Amino acid sequence: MKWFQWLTNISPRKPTPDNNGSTNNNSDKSSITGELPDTAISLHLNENLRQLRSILGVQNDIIYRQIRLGNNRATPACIIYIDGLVDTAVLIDDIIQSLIHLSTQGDFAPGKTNLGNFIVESALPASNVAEVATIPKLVASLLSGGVILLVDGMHPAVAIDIRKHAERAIGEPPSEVLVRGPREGFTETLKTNMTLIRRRIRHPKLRFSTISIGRVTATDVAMVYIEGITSQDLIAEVQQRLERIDIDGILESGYLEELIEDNPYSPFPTIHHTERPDRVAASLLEGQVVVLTDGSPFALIMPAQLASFLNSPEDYYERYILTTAVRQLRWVAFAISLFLPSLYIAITTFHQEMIPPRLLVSISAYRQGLPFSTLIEALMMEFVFEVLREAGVRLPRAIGQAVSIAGALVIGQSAVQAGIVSPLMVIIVAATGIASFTIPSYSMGITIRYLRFPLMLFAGAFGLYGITIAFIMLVIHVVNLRSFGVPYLAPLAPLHTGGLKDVVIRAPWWGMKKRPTEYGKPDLIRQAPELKPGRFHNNGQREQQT
Amino acid sequence: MIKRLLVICLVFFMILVLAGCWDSREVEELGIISGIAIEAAENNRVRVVFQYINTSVQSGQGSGGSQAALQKPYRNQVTEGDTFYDALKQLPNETIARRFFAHSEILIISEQFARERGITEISDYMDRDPQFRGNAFLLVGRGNDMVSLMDTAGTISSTPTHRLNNILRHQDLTSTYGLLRLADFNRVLDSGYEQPFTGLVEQHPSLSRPDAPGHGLLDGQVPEPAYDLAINGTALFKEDKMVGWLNQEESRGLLWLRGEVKQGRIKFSLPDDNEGIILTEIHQAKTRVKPYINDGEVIMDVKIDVKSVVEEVTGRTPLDMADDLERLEEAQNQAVLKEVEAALNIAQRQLQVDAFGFGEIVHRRYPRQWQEMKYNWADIFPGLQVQVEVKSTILHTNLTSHSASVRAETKD
Repeated sequence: MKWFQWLTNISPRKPTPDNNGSTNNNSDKSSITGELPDTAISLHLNENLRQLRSILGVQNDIIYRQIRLGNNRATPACIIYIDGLVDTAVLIDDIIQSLIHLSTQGDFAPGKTNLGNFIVESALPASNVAEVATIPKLVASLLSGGVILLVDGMHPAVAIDIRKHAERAIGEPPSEVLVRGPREGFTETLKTNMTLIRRRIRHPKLRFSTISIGRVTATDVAMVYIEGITSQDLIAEVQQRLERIDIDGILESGYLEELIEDNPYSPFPTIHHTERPDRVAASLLEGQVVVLTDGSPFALIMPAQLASFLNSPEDYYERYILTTAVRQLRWVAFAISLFLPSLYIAITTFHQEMIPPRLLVSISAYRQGLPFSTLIEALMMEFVFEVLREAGVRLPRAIGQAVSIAGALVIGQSAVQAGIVSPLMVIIVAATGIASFTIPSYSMGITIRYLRFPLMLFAGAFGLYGITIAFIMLVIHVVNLRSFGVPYLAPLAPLHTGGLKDVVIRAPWWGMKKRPTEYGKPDLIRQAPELKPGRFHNNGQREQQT
Repeated sequence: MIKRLLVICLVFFMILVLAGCWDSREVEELGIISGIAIEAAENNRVRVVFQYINTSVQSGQGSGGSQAALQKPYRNQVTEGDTFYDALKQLPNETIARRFFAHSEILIISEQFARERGITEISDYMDRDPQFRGNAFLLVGRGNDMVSLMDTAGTISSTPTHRLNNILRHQDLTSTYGLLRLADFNRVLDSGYEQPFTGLVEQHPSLSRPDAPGHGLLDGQVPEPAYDLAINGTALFKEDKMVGWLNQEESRGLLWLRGEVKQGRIKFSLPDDNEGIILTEIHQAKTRVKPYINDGEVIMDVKIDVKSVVEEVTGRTPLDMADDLERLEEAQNQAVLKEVEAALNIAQRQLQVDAFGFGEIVHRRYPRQWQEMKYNWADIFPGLQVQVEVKSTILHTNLTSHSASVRAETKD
């Protein structure tokens, strides 16, 4: 073992916690991202307004609505909100109305000590109302869509959450299309996404723990798990890694993924992402932790294993026998998309004796007079394929398809006719490309597509021998990967036979009695012992087999 | 850290260098040799025919277009040298560099060469060259004109070697000749007491070709090939030199004794019925050879079990009763026995070569006694007593038990 010790030592390590990180934060912050001084709210309305104006500046979209409360209209007050972030109808109809109504009832006098309490408890017809004591909190609540009520002589201020902004409707997730399965996908709104999960898991132990990340953007990030199913260690680890993040902005879940993953130098994704609430629910039930990011329809699922990137949610909705076949098909396609071009190069330039004679003759015939070596030909065609694919992805959908089809046809066909590439190479490239699209995860697909290129170089330089070397290096790397401490190849390596029910095959639901053990095992049994359907007597009781 | 990385890079580099498989060659640069034929030339030299596949013609897509259609799908290059390798090196340099033997399917040695000089001096190079495959078929070519034999293209297969290969792959359809692949031939040679054999190929004028030139041909149509290739028997070797040959019936006898008969016809007639010939097709054949040592004398006890089906009856033999079939079975026993006897007569008694592998069988049964026997096996073998017992079973007579004429007779 010692011989290989040094190999493992140079493999990417877990990021070591930065000791200086938390203490030095303030000193290296620029003035823009610096925290506001923690001043309390003054009793004087004007003083508060002056402070706010100096912090926020004079902005068109920040509305300061001055009103007067009390019997004699003696108490000045101000409602502050950001136009477009709040539900104006509710604001006018309920809040402003009732405040004005309140002033006429006579039980309201300036100088009452718990004025804030009174307003919160008795006067405001809104559900989500909170008291805010300091200016920074007030600003934060204002910027996230709250309505601030400042009353002269009242301390603290009141923040009412009636946020409402334009949002996309829930639609079918475009990156993960299923034939059979729910059509709902996450949207960019955290609240909606949380609702979508809640609707699927109606259990009191479902937990959302929300923190705000981003010095400037202050993005809401929600960590989701089911207490009792997810191991405490995992929850703590995810929490710790999230809290470590100190960055100016989080605009997409991809930011988080890169900041909390175990192996920053690996091309392989070690955190899964999905747009599907059903997939998230399934992961939660298996004891994984999900992280939702406000502003992104992609939920992060962690820990993630290689096998899970080859699974589609549909695997669990379609009948298990066919799903097993489909999964095996996917593993084969996975191997094809990784190895086919390099195998072709290696065999046709080094190991021609492995080709059946007739095929060798026809490959040779098609390659007569071609200007480039097989390696160059393959690299060229794969490059063109990637270009076409990329062009197709970035273009508007309608044009995109046309470009990719026309490009493939025109370039493929004419390249062959012009005698630049052989038709066999076109077949190889097309087969590889199509095979790579069977990988359900886009991130994994792209990883595999790009790993082909170094493999092709190895194959072109050293033949099958080179492929073997490259494959060994790849395996050493993948075996070393961890996702939140869980081996990336689990349950294949280290082998856990119970987990094999859900890797290359998919056992029927009544056969998967336990949750995966990789993520910790607080509560393993997920179903009653005798769920396999069979012949039933009346009352749904299974016939006793003797 | 950097040191380690350097060490790793160095190790990988060393692995790559040490293995030493550098020679990448593009497919189109290969001169694919599909077969080799060797004949004796004057002054004790070797004449070698290398058959190249003309890949630009093979698939219509080649750059030549219509011009390519006029080219042969193969090219024969003939050289002479003192030895095989010497002859190989007489090829143009460009061709030598391109040579690719891994798909050589056939190696033909002319009868004259095989009789006079033997196979070993040729197969020596094939054993050394990593490109050669042991599963190439070894054949002996009748006569000494391999150059024209290697130019006998057929209509279905594109090259003469493909044509031969197609014939040889269906050896079990007739079971009328013995056949060994190069590696098996060498293995048999290595044993020291068993003697190798292999198929004997010859070309003969094709019957499909009309006598009048151009008869029955459309304009521009390619005529049927003038010559056919056929494997008409088995060449027998003593050590690596050919000493004689068996015709098709005798070859069948060899195969019976070796237990290698798969399918094929048996032709015989009933002893007391001169009316016609009966042909049966072998469906299953089993041979058990058991040696006995009796008073120091080795006896080979051979039991042959043949299951066959009546395919053709030219006479009026009725076949409806069980008795009839029994008579048939008896006659078939005799026919098989005759083939076996013929093979034994030539190989054992005249040429005294153990092509049957009896030595190996005795070795397995009596390993201790064999230790003494193996040194004088050449003396023991010709006097070996071989007891052959054939048991035939006629499975059925196909769709009918009578020919039409017999049916008409029984109606009356």
